[in-house]
Amino acid sequence: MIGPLALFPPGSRRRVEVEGRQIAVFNVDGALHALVDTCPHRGGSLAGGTVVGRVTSRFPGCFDYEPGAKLVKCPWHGWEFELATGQSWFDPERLRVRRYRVDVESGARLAGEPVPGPYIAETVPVTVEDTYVVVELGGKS
Amino acid sequence: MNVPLRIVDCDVHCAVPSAAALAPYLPDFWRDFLAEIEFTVPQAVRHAYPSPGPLATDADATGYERVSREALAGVEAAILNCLFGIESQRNPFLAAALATAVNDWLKEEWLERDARLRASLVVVPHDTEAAVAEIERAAAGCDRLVQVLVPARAWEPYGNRRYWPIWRAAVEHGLAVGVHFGGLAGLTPTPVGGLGGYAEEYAAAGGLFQSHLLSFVAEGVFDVFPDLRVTLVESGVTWLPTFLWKVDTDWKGHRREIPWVRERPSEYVRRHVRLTTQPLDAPADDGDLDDVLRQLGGSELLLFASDFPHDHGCDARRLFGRFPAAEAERVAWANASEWYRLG
Repeated sequence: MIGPLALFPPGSRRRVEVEGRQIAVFNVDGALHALVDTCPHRGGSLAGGTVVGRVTSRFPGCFDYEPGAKLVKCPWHGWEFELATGQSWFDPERLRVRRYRVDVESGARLAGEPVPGPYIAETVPVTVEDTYVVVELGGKS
Repeated sequence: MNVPLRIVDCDVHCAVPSAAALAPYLPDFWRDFLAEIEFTVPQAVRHAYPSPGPLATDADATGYERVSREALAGVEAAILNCLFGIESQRNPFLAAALATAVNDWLKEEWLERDARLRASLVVVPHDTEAAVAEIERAAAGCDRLVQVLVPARAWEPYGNRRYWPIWRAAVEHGLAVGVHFGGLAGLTPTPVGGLGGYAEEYAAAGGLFQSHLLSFVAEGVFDVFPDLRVTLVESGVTWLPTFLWKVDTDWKGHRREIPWVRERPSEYVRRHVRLTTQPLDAPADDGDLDDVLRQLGGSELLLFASDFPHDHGCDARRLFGRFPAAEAERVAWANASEWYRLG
């Protein structure tokens, strides 16, 4: 668990540390993505990069722009990585950054309660009504 | 040194000896007009290879007798490049008439005379429409013209759209495009413009070729014309690996601006570009040369050329000894045979 969802509002890019690992968490219009926060090129922090739409082309002068398909550009040298997969744009099969599964969970569930009812608020005060962002370190997608 | 048995020389020069030599190939008006103005053949070759010096040459050296005796000895085929200096003619109609005359002169006086010869046809590079028309006219029914020749000094980098119809015509007629060192005064001899003298232009030639090469790739010419073949003639070769390292690296971060460049630029170069081997701008030490050849990716991109009659002080046959026999054979013959479809 890396923190309350409120810390990761839409449009945010945040570097968090989980069990010694640096992870970049992006909230793109409500969709959360988590990538290793180290560009495989020279180690730039992807959390400091710009999130951009995908652009491809069918012919010179043609810009097929998909603003909803997001990539992060490393702030150091501009290498692009797809948020949804971690794949690099220029060599997707061989070069990628590790992507972690990221979920939003209720505070109650995180507290280990079996499907709590509304009254569970009594046992986990304050936080149970919040939602939290959870990164699964073991998951790889 | 293992000398391959078969050699194609991809850069042999011939020159129009005088304006009178073109008279039979010109319309009456232009023939008489040239006499009226006492036209002399543009000194393109002498401009590119100033006298005195080993690169200088005289008209005899580029006449058929000497080319046949010296350049074609032991050669299976040769590609003739006539540096006439069409680009020096600012009158576009005269320029077009001269291009036609030079090409017909090449066919009549050279190709008809010797089955070993192929030739590059000349065009007016600054008049796209005329260049296309001349390619269509000259190449029709003639499979001995194998390339469209344009000078490295140019109005724009050759990826520019103004040139696309010329490249399209070349592809449609099965011709390569040869970008050759030189070109006449008034056109920029380096990527940053004019300068003082030949010593600088000659030594800095690689920069001009790099600009054209990058332009071809970045402007998407090879995407639009997937069958386009570009030969860099007399460009030098050893600058290529370092240049491609940089271009490939930069592409990874800058490619959003040119998304039609879908692969590393070096991949386009491997598919679409070859370089002639003279001048062999190589280090004197064989081990150092071997390093460069390995960085170039071996023999694949190289087309053997003597640049007859110009003596650059280095013999490209040195390459044959730097490769295993099969690869030496590629440089000497097979690469050119495939590239120019010599069959």
